[in-house]
Formats: sequence, structure tokens, C-alpha cells
Amino acid sequence: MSRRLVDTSLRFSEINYAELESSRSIEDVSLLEIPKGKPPTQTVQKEFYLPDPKLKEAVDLSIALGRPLLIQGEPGCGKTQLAYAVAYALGLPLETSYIKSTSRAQDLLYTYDAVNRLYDAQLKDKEEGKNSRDIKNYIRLGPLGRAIARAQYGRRSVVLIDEIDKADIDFPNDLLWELDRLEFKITEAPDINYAVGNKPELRPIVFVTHNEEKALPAAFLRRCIFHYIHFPESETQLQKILATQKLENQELSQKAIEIIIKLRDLDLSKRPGLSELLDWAGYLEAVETPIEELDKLPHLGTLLKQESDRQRAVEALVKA
Amino acid sequence: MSQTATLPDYLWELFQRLRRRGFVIGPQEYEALKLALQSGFGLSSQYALRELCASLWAKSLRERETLFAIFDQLAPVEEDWFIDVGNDATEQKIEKREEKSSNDPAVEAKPSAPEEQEAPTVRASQGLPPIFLGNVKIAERPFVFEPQYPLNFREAAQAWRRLRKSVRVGAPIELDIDGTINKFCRMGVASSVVLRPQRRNVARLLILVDRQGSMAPFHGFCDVVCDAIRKAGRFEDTALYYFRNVPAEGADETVLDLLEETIFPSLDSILAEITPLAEGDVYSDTELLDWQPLETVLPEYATGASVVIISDAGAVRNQYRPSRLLDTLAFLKGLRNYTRQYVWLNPLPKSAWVSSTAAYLARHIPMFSLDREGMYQAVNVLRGQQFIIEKPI
Repeated sequence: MSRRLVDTSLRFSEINYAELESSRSIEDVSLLEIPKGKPPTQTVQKEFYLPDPKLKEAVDLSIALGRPLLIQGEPGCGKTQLAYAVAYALGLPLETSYIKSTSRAQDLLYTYDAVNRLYDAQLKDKEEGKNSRDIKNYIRLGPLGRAIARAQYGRRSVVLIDEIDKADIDFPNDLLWELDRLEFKITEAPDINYAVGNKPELRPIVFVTHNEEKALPAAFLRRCIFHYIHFPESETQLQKILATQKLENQELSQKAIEIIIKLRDLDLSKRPGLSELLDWAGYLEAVETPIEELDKLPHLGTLLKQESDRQRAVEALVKA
Repeated sequence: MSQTATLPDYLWELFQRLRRRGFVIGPQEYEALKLALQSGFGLSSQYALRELCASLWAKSLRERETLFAIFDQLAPVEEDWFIDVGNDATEQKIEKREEKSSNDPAVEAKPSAPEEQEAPTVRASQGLPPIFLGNVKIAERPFVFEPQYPLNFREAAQAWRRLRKSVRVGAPIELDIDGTINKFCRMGVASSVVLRPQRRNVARLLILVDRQGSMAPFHGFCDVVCDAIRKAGRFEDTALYYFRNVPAEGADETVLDLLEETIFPSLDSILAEITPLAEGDVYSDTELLDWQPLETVLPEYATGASVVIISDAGAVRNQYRPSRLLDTLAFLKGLRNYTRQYVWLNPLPKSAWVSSTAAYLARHIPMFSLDREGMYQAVNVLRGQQFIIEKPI
């Protein structure tokens, strides 16, 4: 690997996320082909998010060094939201890839539709028949491929590879070259290739999320920057997070936070996370639940997903 | 700042120690720290620097903890670390920082400040010289403990991933590109695409783990291995049960009377007489509280499946007990009614089996040590590779 150039042109930590407008227009990512010239835009809604300073620093570091940011943390703590928030804050298009157990590394770069081309080739004189002579019409770029292609046209993007641990254990290894060099060739059409080139300011910003610990290959881990998102430690921090979600009723959210902190102290098989808290508090506010009612733990199904946990919580909090 | 700038020595020491602990970091990662410092990260405080090292070098929560602890041991105590971050070039900041860190006696840049050095005085003394703890730093956490098993999660997962019985089952939903193209070529006109069912691993696995007693030292290790097999093996079905010493007890001991009178009798001569035994106690939890009868577990999970038994087979205590061997052999005979694919994994290395029940047992069944190599061999045997056994049951 050639020596990495440092890029400090973008800094997430210098943006005051809370003060950004609630929507802005960002390059449209739904187009099948990446336009070379000025791209059409779409309106993107702001994701409510409150990154802590350490996380911001990690994001900046990842941008500066051009290494993927590997994010871990308990479910529902906002791993995926981070990519949305960063893309929004920097005004960059976000290419997402939700990994499934059948995902292949190459799908992140491109897919080639051989069968469709074969069909089209049957219709010799029609439009489709003519199309079939050009392989380009049957190659569809994947999320990472699109980001690299966009960089070739001089625009930057954010890439989210979500839940990478769901894929085959060798999946990340198949991406090493592409993540290192940020270039790829289309095997079926050797004359087509995409590369970011020697321009650190165009490198895609890559976020990778995963849930399990350490099942990822060492070679892949070595290239990443790691950050663990903890559940907010203090009540004030939780209060701030609830405030970003436009929860107006101060007393209600205060009470909800107290309850969730108590619940998290219990020995539960699955502790309620941040996203559950937001859902729960949001619903309680929407239906205007009186604050006294909260001690009876209404709508507990939003927070706890197992019958044994529910019983334990009711015993500990309601009956006590 | 030029590329040849050196970092304070303690960072290099930290890097080395982490490498010794098996962190996957190389020269590029060390270089990355330099680059990051040059571009202004991690300069504001010692905590920021620690955080930066953790972001770059630690790849899990546990590794972070380890790094923090070692960093705290190595980093110089500097109350006045906080430097005002002006808008000047980062170079200046780094130089400032390096000046500061040179207070650390380990840094060679400048010999420690003259005022700290006392002029050497000579005086006669008797006995041992007094010990000064003035410059010795005692870290908050002087030790960092972490398990280091002969085999990590990923290695175990990789070995067991090779145990596959791949079969196309279910509804045809996967596009068969080759099949479709062949069909086109055969028919000469466009026709419907060919679909086929998806491949699925239909291999089933039953793991029986010896627990408590002499196995107590291996609990953590066994848990890692079982966890890896269960999470990453992607079998159709993985069942895990625990037992104590032997899965089935109470074999007919009258056959032992047929043996010749020796101190350490081998059971070769009565092998054929041992009656199969499939009744015993296994437990579905590690505390051996949730009892399950072996006679219901075996038909359900062992039929046509691969069976792995993890136990030291008496090797830890270095004992040979014919009755234990008899029970084990009787159980294995009983197991053979359900499946012929079974292996024994012993957490002790082969050299430690000598003269214990394990050594005798290894003559009758495929037994391997629970390390990388042994595990690969075990999977090979389960995959059907031939393995020569001295005296098959």
C-alpha cells in the first residue's frame, strides 16, 4: 500500500449538528447511473442524533486517514444512525448496504445481469437487441462501487456497510483490496474500471457496523478504526438525547429516563436500549399519559421483548 | 514536521507490548498514529492521545480496556499536559508536546533537566542501599489479565465451517445462470429461466461437554470453542449438553471379571462383551442443574448427526480407571446405534494423556487435542476422512 495521504478538509466535529436545518438538498442516490456532471438533488430529512465528542473525534480520524470506521455497541444505540447523521452534516450522498447472510463482497462493487442480456440479445432488431451489444447496460454498481465511481467524477460520498457480521466470515477479507486501494475493475468487461485516484479529499467515508465481538478477520480489523458506542452514562445526557427528538414534556421524559435506568440495573436477558427508550417516551407523550401512570410501566412491550424480563421488571418496579 | 519525527518512547513501548499481546497492528498502524498526530488529533490531552491510540489500535471493547491499562502504566505523569490549542500549525503543537514528554526519563531527546539531578556524593554505608520510590510510577491497574487460549473464536469458527453437508433443498428460488444459458442454447429461442433451490448446510451437530471437577480449569476455553461452533458453524441444528465425567454411567461391570489380573488392564480382550449403554444424565446448562435424560437426547440430536465430546477423559488427574473406560466405551457403543460420526476432543495436549484413561480411550476412538491442529483433524474425521484407530469398538 502506498503511503496514505491525510485529508483534513472535512471535520465532523466542527459542525454543530443540533443547529443544522431540519432538511437540506443532497445529491440524489436513487438514480441508477451516477451522473458525470452536476447531479440532481433530493431533499433529505435530518436524522435526530447527538454524537458524543469521542465519537466525533473518531469520525474525523477516519476521514483524515481514509480508513473505515468500525462501530460496535449494543443494539439500538444508534450505530446505523451515525452514518445518516454524518452524511447529512457534511451534505454528502449516502450509499447504504444492508448485509444479509447471502451477501457477497462483489455485490458491494457491482452485479452483472448476464441472463437479461441473453434475453435482450434474442430481440435482434429491437432497441433491446442493440442494447445487448454493450455490456455496460447490464452492469449495475453496488453501494461501494457507486461511491468510487462518484469520486471519479469528483464528488465525495458516505458509505454505510451495516451489520457486516451477518455475512459469511470471509466476506470482509474479500473487500480488503478495494477498501485499501479504492479502485476496482469489472471482471466481465476489463476495459471498465473505477478508481478514486490520488485524491484524499474524494475518498468515500466508510462506516461499518457490527454486533458481535471479534468474529471479523484480523486483516480487516487491522485496517479499521474502532469505536464502541456506549449507552449514555448520565441522566443529563439521556435528557439531551430525548430533547433532540422534540419531546416537549420535560417531566415525562425525566420520569421515563428514571425508569429506564432502573430497568437497565435489573438482571435482564436483553436490556432496553436507546431506540426503545425513544419509542417508548415518544409514544407516552403522544397519547398524553399522566406521569403518575408511568410507575405502572404502561406499554412495557416497547421496552422489554421477553416474558421473563417483563415479569421481573414488574415485580421489581411495580410491586416494590 | 518531517516524516522522520519520532514519537515519545513510551508509545513505541505501548505498540510493542500490544503486539506481544496479539493485537493485529503493524508498521502501517504505527505510521497511522504519526499521521494522525501530525494532522492534529489526540494532542489536546493525555486522554485524547489515549483515545486516539485506542481508536487506531484496539479493535474490540476488551482490547480497548487492555490498551487503556497499559497506556496508563507507561505514560508519564504530567499534570500540566493540557496545552492551549492555538490556531498555529500543528507542528508547533507536536514540538511542544514532545518537549513535555521529554520530562519522562525514558525519552532520550534531552537528558532530564539538570535541576532534578543531585550531585553524586560519596558516603560510606552499611547494608543494603535505601530504596527511593520517588520516580517510580505505580499504575492504577498494574496488571492486565486476559484469557489467552490455544485457539481463538475465529480459528474455531473457521475449522468448524468446513463441516458441511451442502444440499439444495426447499423451493426453487435461486437463479441458475448456467442452466438458463444451456437451456437457451439447446432450444435456440428465449424461454423461461431455470430456477433451483438454494444450497443449505444440513449438517447437524451434537456437542457433549464434560463440566466441573477436573474440567474446571477449561471452562472458559470450552465456552469459547462451543460458542464459536454454535454461532459460526451455521449448521442446521447444533445441540449442546453438559455432563460430569462420563455421559452414561452404570455399565455392566461383570465383564471386568473376565480380565486378567494386572494393575493396569486394557479392555481389548473384552471389547466385544461390553454392552451398549445409552442411559445417563446430561444437562442443558453449565451449572448441571437442568437435567435431561440421555436416552431422549440421543435419539433427537444424535441420529445421523456428528457428535463431538469434549472431555479430558481422566488426563488431568493422570488416572487410569478401568470402570471409567468401561462406562465410556459402553456409552460410545450406545452412541453408535445413532451415528458413526463422532470425535473426542481433549483439552490437554496429546503428550499429557500418557497412562491415563485418555490414552487407553484414544486407542478405540478418534481423540484429538483441543487446539487448532487437533480441531482440523477432528473435522476431517467427521467429514468422512479415514482415520486409523488401533482397536475400533
